[in-house]
Amino acid sequence: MKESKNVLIVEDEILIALNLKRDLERYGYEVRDIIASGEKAIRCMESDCPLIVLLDIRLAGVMTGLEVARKIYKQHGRLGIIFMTGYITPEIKEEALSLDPLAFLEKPITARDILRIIKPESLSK
Amino acid sequence: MKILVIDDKDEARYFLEVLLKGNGHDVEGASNGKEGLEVLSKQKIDLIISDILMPDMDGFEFCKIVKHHDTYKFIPFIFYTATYVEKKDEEFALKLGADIFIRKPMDPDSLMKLIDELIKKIEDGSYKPRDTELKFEADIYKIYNQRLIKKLEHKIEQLENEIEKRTVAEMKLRKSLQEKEILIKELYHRTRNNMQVIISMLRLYSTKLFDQQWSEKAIEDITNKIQTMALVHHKLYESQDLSYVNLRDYFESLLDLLKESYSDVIQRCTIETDFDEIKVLLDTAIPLGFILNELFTNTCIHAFPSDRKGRIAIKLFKNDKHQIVLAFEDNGIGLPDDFVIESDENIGLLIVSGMVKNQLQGLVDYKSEDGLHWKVTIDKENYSERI
Repeated sequence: MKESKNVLIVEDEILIALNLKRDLERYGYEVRDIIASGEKAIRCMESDCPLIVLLDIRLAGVMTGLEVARKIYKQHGRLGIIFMTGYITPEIKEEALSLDPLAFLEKPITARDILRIIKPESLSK
Repeated sequence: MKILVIDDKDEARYFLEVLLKGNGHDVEGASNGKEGLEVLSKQKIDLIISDILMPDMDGFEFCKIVKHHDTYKFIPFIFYTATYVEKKDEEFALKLGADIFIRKPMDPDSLMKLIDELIKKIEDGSYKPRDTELKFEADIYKIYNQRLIKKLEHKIEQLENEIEKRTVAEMKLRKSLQEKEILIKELYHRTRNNMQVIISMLRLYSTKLFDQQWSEKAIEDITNKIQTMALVHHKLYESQDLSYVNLRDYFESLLDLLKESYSDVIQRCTIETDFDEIKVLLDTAIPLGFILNELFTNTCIHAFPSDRKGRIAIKLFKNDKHQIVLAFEDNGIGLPDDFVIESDENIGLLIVSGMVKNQLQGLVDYKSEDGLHWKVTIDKENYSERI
């Protein structure tokens, strides 16, 4: 497994994803892809694992973000997952946090919220 | 004539009281046998009308006492009952010495007729109290207990039915409550998500917003996109279906809205629409609304420059593979040769492409020939029902 310094956005709302992609690229991150469904995200990570996965919990398709997280942990060991969701129930939050992600972000969010977690020093730029 | 009316239900007593007073009689009321006996001990009563099922002392017990009393036994006695209505109840009542046994409800005229007949006999002296056929307490109590048990069984059955009805009602209520809870969570999610989409749009358009040439257009564009989202929620609310949206209805309303925004161009154009009735989930309807919005906006801004007249044709249908197809055509100037759909220059079309490919897992096709022809095809819904 080759590890690269890039970000994968798993988010079905394309407007949100496009905006995050732009902002992250502005801060020097490489956004590898935008993917709307969990099934596709897992396939996409089979050969090449990103540094960070921005993972929405409710996605297109059948799988939820939580199921995707479990599966990629199993396949690739621990890697940086940031959950971002508007679907916040105490149960979902608890389940998400039990997976020990880098962060659990509640929408609405901006790229600054993500940078604050992955590279705080870049914000002062 | 002074009549004693005994019934534990106020409204039943009131009904008889009004009826009898209206016919020129005096009425005394009591709500059970015990109270009835008290009335009898204090004043002279000419006729008794009594219910059977009552607390403390029921009508049977009361009748038995009256008909075994040295003086009360001459008072004519009518049973008027809604609960003890079987033939055996009637037989027992008459054996106790009652004169008439009437089942509730009876219309006031017929009831009054029966009472009047008895009163007439009392008045002309031809009334003779019936003999109590049951002389021995043991005989009375044996039948009394049978009637009581029968009544209890019936009551228990009624209660069981009532409990069953209430259990069903409670289950319905619980289900409805559960649905409402899911709904609240879903609406909360949708609200947050919509806020996020608005923030994302503002940021995507941020460079244009500060560009004098583009800021007005960009604001118009964002406004229309927000309206597109608002409209879909309005349609859901209108249809009382919180999951599925009728695309035809949604598209028609959306076009009305967009036409207002671009009325200068629309005046020069004919617009033909042909939308099939297709119902899709909210998650599919929103991107499709965005796509229609974007294609329409794009055509209005670019296709017909400098007073050029034109035609726009929009179709929505299901093809023979059951795919949903949105075909959008104009006969405008078409695309420049170096056009690339996914470029940062055109945020709108970048969004369309992303929505079709990612969000809807479909295909977007375009052809620039005698105008511009777009075709968006989506296979099946990429989402599952949430509510």
